[in-house]
Amino acid sequence: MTGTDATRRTLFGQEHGFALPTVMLAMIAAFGMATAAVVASVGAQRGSIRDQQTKAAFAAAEAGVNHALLRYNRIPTAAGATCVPVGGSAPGAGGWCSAGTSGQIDRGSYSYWVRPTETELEVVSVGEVDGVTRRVEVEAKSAQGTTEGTRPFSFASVVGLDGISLSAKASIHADVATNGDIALSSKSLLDCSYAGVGYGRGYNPSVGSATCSPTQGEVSLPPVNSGDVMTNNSNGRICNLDPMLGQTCSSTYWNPTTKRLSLKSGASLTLGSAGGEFNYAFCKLTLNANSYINITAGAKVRIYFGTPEECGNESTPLVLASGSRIQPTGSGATDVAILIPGSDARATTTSLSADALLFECDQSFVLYAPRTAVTLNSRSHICGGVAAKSIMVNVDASITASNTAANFELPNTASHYSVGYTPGSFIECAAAMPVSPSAPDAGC
Amino acid sequence: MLCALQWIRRRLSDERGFTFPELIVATMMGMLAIAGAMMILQIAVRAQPQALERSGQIQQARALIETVSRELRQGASIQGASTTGLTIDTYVNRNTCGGTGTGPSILCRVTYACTAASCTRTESSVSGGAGRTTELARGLLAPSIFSYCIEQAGAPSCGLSAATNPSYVGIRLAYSNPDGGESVTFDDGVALRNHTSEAPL
Repeated sequence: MTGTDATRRTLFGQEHGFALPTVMLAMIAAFGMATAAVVASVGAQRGSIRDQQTKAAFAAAEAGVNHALLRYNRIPTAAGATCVPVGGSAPGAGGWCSAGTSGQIDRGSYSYWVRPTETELEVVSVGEVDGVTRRVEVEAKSAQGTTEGTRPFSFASVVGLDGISLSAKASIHADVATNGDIALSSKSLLDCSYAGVGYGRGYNPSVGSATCSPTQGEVSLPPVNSGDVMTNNSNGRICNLDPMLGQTCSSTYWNPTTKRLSLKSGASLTLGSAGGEFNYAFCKLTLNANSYINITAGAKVRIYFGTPEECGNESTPLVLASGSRIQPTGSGATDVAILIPGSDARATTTSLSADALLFECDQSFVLYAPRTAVTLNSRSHICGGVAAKSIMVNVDASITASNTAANFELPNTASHYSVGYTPGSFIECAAAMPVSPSAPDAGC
Repeated sequence: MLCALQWIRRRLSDERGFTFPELIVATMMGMLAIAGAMMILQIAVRAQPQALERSGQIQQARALIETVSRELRQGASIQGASTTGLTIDTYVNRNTCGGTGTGPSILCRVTYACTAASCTRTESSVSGGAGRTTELARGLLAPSIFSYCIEQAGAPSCGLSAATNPSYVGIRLAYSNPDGGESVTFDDGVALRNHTSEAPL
């Protein structure tokens, strides 16, 4: 008999129960089951965290797109330097701006690449949160979107960036757009088929009448690009080929050096000649009561104003006193645009006094002043397109759309100079982040 | 040391047993412990399939919402909208609509249809024709999973059961609890990034 046999016999001979081993086994089995449940729960929780990170990464990618659009909508570009808003100059391989741009947002980050063309801006943006990435591609189109130039009146004939206000009995017979509110006072009338207001804005107050409901959105106006018109212009025609009647051509009324023109009451000046194109440049143009600027029938005339900085801080570049007019001399096709660049640093205003008139409805006329407040006082009237920083239409004053304003193209402004890029198409790229910055849209 | 070895040897060679009361008490304690352990084991065994099923439902819902959200996000126009179904023209990464090969994003027509039994996804060309149908989910508490938002007079109107080319789609998936308890519900919603105001074809 060996020692092992003796031990075995001793063990089998014992009368102790199996309670403890049984309990231990049951406990181990229960623990195993509970562990499986916990593992499943942890797995589900991990999935939730992953979902959260995915959504956050996606939001970060969209933030990158918005950042790119903001830059391109705020920073002007020029031909051959379309990458300026993202810190480059000319596009590189594949038309992509070589410099990718990165930023931080909340607990994630984004990187984006842009490919600007004449009318479109392609943005590929990658968002990353805790190692989870999402990539999106957005093709934004210029709001004006033409190769030759921009058309600020393509959506609405009356655009007031900060707001449009109609006092009692005032009226606008046109489609309108603003980033602010449209104020309709008692007995005012907005005769429209489209009225764009800013996000969260509307008719406020709304005690007047409107024939259309407000649509929330965003509108932008490219700045005036005067080019070299302040030096190369048609000003030399004034008092020579362009006759001034009712007053002398002394420097009291017309100073070619300071570019200040004033027409006294009853005086008139006729600009341009039939079939020609003329660019005039002024620092200040004052039409006193019942004075007129006539535009020769068949002429295409652009009246530019200098910025306050160019014109001795002039804050009221265009003043039309009561009964004054800018009007065509006949029924021939006449095309007139008044372009006031204004300034972000200095407030500028333009006002039309009682009974003043800007043009005839059967001709092409626009007043384009994206950084200038425009005020129409009692019984004054504009017929054509009006774009301004803000528009105030006072008692009994009115604006009427012309059929031709929508086709007006802002001169010297190729579309890639413009602002107003809005997303056109959105793609969530399926593939992983490409390694080549020359083709960040690979797999989209 | 020697003393300890002697004590152990004496204990091992000791032939004295337990007293009867000791046995009774020990048996009862052992029975109680076993009963407790068995109850825990039984509960765990019973709960395990339900936990697995619930986990599967969560995974299934997550995948469905991810798929639908992604395609809605890239959607251009909704051709048909009800609480149990949705037809949308959207971008998918395919060589051909309804095919199986992946490629750059192309515009296809995707139809989601839910019944009491399952939810399916059918991908076809925007010009119509036969498509390829796959099953996305089973065991939903109710087949009404979609709701819609439209803009009226500049203000959104949401929670609609039907709409013409809405720009926002809400998704709600509810799964019944296998144990008869509270159901699990997933809520999400997506705005169409490529939404066009064109009327459905």
